[in-house]
Amino acid sequence: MMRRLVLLCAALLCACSPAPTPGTARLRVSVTTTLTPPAGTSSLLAVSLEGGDGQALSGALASVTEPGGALSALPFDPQTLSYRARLAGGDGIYQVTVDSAAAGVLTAEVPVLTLSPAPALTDLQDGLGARALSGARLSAATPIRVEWSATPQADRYLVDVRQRGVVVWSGQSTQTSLIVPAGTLQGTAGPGVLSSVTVTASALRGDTAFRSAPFLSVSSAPSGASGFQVGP
Amino acid sequence: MRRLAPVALLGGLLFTACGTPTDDARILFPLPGAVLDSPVKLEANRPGTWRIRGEVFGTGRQASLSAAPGPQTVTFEPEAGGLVQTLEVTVSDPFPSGVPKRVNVSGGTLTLPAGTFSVILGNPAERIWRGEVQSSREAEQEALTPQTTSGERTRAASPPDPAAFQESQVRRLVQRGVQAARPPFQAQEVSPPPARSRTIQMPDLVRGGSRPVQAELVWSGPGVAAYGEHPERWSLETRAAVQTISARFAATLWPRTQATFGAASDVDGDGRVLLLFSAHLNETQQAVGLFNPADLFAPGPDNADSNGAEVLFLGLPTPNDLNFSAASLTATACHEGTHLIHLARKTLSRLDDPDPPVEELALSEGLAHLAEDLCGYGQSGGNGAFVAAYLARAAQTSLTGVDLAGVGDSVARRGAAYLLLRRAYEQMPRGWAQRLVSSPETGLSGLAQTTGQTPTALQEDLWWTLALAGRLPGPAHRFAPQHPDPETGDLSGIDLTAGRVSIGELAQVTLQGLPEARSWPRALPGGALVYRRLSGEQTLNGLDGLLVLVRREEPETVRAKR
Repeated sequence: MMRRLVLLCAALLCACSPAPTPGTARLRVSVTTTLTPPAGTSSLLAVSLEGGDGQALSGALASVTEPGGALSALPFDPQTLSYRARLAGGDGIYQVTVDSAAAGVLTAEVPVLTLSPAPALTDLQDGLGARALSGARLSAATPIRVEWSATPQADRYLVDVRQRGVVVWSGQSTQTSLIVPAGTLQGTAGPGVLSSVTVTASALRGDTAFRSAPFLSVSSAPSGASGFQVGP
Repeated sequence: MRRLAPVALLGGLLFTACGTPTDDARILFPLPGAVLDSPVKLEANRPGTWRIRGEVFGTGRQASLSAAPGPQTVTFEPEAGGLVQTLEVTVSDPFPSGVPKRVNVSGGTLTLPAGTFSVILGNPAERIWRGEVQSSREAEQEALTPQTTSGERTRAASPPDPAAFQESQVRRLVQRGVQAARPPFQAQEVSPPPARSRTIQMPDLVRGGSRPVQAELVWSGPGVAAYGEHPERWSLETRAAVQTISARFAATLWPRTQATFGAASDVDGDGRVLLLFSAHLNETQQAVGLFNPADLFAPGPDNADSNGAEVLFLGLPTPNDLNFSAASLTATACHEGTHLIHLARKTLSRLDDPDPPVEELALSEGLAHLAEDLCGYGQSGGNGAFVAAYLARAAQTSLTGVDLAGVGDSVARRGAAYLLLRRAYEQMPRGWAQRLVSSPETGLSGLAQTTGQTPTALQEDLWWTLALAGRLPGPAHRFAPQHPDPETGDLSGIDLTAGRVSIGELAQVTLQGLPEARSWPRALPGGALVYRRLSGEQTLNGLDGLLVLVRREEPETVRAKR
């Protein structure tokens, strides 16, 4: 037992130790892709180039080749110390190339994914059976079950519940339903408290720590806000 | 051992985070005693096996139970062992007889069992819905084509649309920061007598802009001064009719309108509203009356057409003309006066706000038609014609937006907006109309804010009220019975199944409720609905984006219809 514990801790320490070799320039690419109907999809591409001394390199020639072959320059943004551009291209592999005197030519292939269609709310029901989509007021004293349609390729879903415009509860699930615990929302007699729920489908490709991959590609598709009334 | 202690502690923490849970397995949803539609969605905090009457219907944390209506006992056996949970719920009848229901159509599909149903498909959004609804019982679907022409001779707007012009004009003045001609609600001093003759800028509905009219005083009384353009050319009958309209407006209708919607502004400080009777409106046939919102804003380079005074423009009373009958003109004075109050209380009083509210045209017109009704001209003023036009084209008429041909203001849309507001007026306590007019919110949002209902719920109620007209005995989904106005003797309110209704002495329309559509449409403007009665087991597909309302017909109703 003692032996197993020691091994486990060694693995834990290994996971927390720095991976890159000191003195090597490296590239980190992040892409945030959002589906915003009816405008469509837009992707924000940001490339940071770190020299061997850990400082950001600003003088490189950075470019991205879209899956369709279009080539775009990535201008340096001194505020974020990264090479950035907003792209309107679709799904596929984007080839990022950064050429600098200090670090030479570095490349990365970054997958970009558009999540579509956005999730749509299919049910919003309280623990006693009242359904908001049938016009009923939900009871704040019971658990409230939120259900939505699946978005292909989504890894998980983020759910935000707002009351009077303020987020009062958030949750996430890899399934297509979640339960808001009883007593989380406020409810009043009469028409009730105007509330809304938003579900955002999300997918992640790459590595959040930029270790196993030099990129992080995050895609999201938010549903529209669905309003409902909450009683006691 | 002593050196290993920190490691052991760390390991302990790790096991606490990842180890076997200590809390018992339990059913999270629904609660015992819940009444739910089938399929019932169940969820526990741990995986397990779900059973009903010993039969397994699901495994895992979540399960879905399809069961017949009635009480059901569900058991849940946790996978990791522990106590078996029991849950008593009642599966409800999805379509109880005679009860209007909003149906949750996940996946855009509605399955109807055997029986006869009233089905409403409505577009609760502002944008046009396009799609194709298919029924398993109907092989062919027929699109409802938009009808944009109307033959009614009512106060219909036709291009150029004076009402639409007014709304855009207000937005332009507000955006340019033009101020009120004077503090709009400043207490008036002693009113000076009205001038016997004065120049009034009158909107030119043919050429645009305005033209100066040399107006002569033809009648004056408390709070009202009536002027005429070339009154020397009027017949004795015309002069008498103008004076009768003006006297009735001053004595009864204008005080009643202000009591209902709030006090009017007094931007010129003369303590009165001016009526200008002009044959220009009869000649152009584009409006029976109008109110120029620019008149409440300060005259200046950005607002050259302003009179800086409260002015209502009316046509000349003309025998044998439905539009320009004395009743129609009197009702129109209330109508235009309500536009004046609405603008003053919603917009003019908030000109110092960063973004002053400007009422949406549909709501503004609906409220003005409600004012005609409340002034005592519910029938003779012509609202019945607007309502009849709407009922005939409900599937093509947007409640607040544009129809399939891109037309905004129309006879039918005004009828729809009047019905929506009449319904709210009947259900809300006294003072609601003033709160609506003074609310900083506009359009359906303003109506929702002042009624405590969501816009969707308001539309749902209106749609059921239309579809079930004449078929329900109780007050739910039904307009209040009409009653005679104590001043005019005209009927106040609306009866959607009244049959033939006289509009003055000159015309009749027929109100027979909302006609049943023969097929499902392929497009519905925002706020439009289509209503059908369906019999027999069937499935409807393609309902995504629509509000689906279903009522199982009671056997008596079905028999009566046969």
